[in-house]
Amino acid sequence: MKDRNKGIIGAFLILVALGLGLWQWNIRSSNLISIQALSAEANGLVAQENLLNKRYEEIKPELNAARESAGQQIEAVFPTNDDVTNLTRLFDDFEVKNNFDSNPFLINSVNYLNPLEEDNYRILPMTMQITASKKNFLKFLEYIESSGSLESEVRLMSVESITVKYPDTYGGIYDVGLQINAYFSREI
Amino acid sequence: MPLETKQPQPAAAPAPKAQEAQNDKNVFTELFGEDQSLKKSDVMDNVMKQEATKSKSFFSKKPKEKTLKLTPKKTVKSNPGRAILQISILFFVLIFGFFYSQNSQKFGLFGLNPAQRKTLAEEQVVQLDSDIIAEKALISVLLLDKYSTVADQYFFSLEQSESQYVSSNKKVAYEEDLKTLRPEMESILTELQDYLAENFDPDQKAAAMDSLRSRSEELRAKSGEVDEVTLLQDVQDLDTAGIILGLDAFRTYITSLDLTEATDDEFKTVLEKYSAEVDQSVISLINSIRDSRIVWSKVFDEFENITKKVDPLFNTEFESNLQVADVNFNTTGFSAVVSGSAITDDTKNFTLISNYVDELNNSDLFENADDRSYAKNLLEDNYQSNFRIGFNITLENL
Repeated sequence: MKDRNKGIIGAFLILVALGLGLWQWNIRSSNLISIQALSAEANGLVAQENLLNKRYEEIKPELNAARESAGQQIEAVFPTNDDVTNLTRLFDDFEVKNNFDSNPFLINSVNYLNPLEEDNYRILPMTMQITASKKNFLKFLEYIESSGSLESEVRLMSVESITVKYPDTYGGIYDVGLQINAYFSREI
Repeated sequence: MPLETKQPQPAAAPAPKAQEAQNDKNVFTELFGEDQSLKKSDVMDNVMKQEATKSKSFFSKKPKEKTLKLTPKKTVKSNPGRAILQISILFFVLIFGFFYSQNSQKFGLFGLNPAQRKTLAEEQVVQLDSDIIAEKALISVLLLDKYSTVADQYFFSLEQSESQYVSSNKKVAYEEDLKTLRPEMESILTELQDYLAENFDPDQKAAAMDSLRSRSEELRAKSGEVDEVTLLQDVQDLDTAGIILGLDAFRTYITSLDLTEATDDEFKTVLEKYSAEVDQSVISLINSIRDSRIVWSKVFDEFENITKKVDPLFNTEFESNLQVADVNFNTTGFSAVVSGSAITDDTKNFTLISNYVDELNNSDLFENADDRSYAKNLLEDNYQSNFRIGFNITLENL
């Protein structure tokens, strides 16, 4: 190859090398700028994460205490067994508080049936016969309707059916037949 | 380059022209005496001799290589093109090598280069982003759990404060509770909105969910080493945080609430949505059972109001035309049956029963009221017609 051609190729190679160098220098500079920006962003994110961790640590103990307290309430509201005895005492307690001569509430009978299995819980069905004033009958209905609140600590129940026999006279006593479900959790 | 060599010159004969010049002597040629220069010089003679022997010309004879006795002589060969090429190759290699070491992800000879540091920094930022999203979701779980507790108290207090069967002293206490509980609910939801307000792109969300999943698996692996109750609760929190991240609609609902004007129903909806869609705890199960119950007192009230509408004397101390013997409500098929008798002093018993059927159908809570059998008896002073009306309870308005 002639010397002149070698010179041309050499010069061309130098130009290519310069071009490559310039291009790669830009990439390198861009990388360094990005590193700085990412580093600043990361610092900001770390600070934000620290704040979040701090907030989590603040809430967690407070909530743990509430959860511990709720655990006891849950045991009353949604026990792990049918807990028939406590439930019966609960009915008696309501009766004692609301049964008066002028405003009667009397539970004539309670029959607990065999528990039923559902997907995530179990049911204790029962039938109940009561004689009560209209006011106390409605109060008892509301008592069952608001049951299950952790605040009330009343066993979770629902009314499945109501049969009300109206009194012959105004202000008389209602004979009420109720079918009630009491709920409890599945075995762990 | 051809080298000059001295060749022995043959003897030259005297040129005839020179003789002629010698013969042409005149006054001018001998003006200054005999021309000595010509006399003595043989230059011209030599030239002439050489001309005469043309075949033996000095220029016409090529030197023979064999006869050359070259002395070795050192010479510097000038080759600039080659030098430029060599330098340029070296320059190219250096440039390429330097930038390869700086910009290649694969080069690892001298520690991390800027390209690798950038990639690492990007990965760190992505990781931090996903950790922050996961942390926010986790705090949201705690806040929602807290909200659930406070809202449970709030709605219980609300029910009790509105109940007809709670004493006025207790009502006052419940109303006081409401005054402190509602701002607390608002405060929790305001903070919750901050944590749930961010819109994540799918990659960020997936990375955060992976982060939560891996943390949950790490905790599960510690089973038996630490307190089981705490461990299970923490695992449940992490799992619930993952659920929250996956529920875009739930997050949107929470963040779109205008808490300054939020109603009790909206607060209740938050609780219901949380129980139904997010929470996996026992409390959620309890709440879902509670929410599925029928409010029988409301049903019973509506039934008595309709009966009173048909016969305003019903359930008063005065004798009414419409006498209800019994009513049965059942969740099976959400059916109901009311039976009794219509007693009138004219013969419009059937009309009264028909009015009763229509009013039941007009109610928002009942539908499909029907009585297919009508019979009338004549008593002593009036007419009696027994009825048995079947109808259904509509759940939509309960």
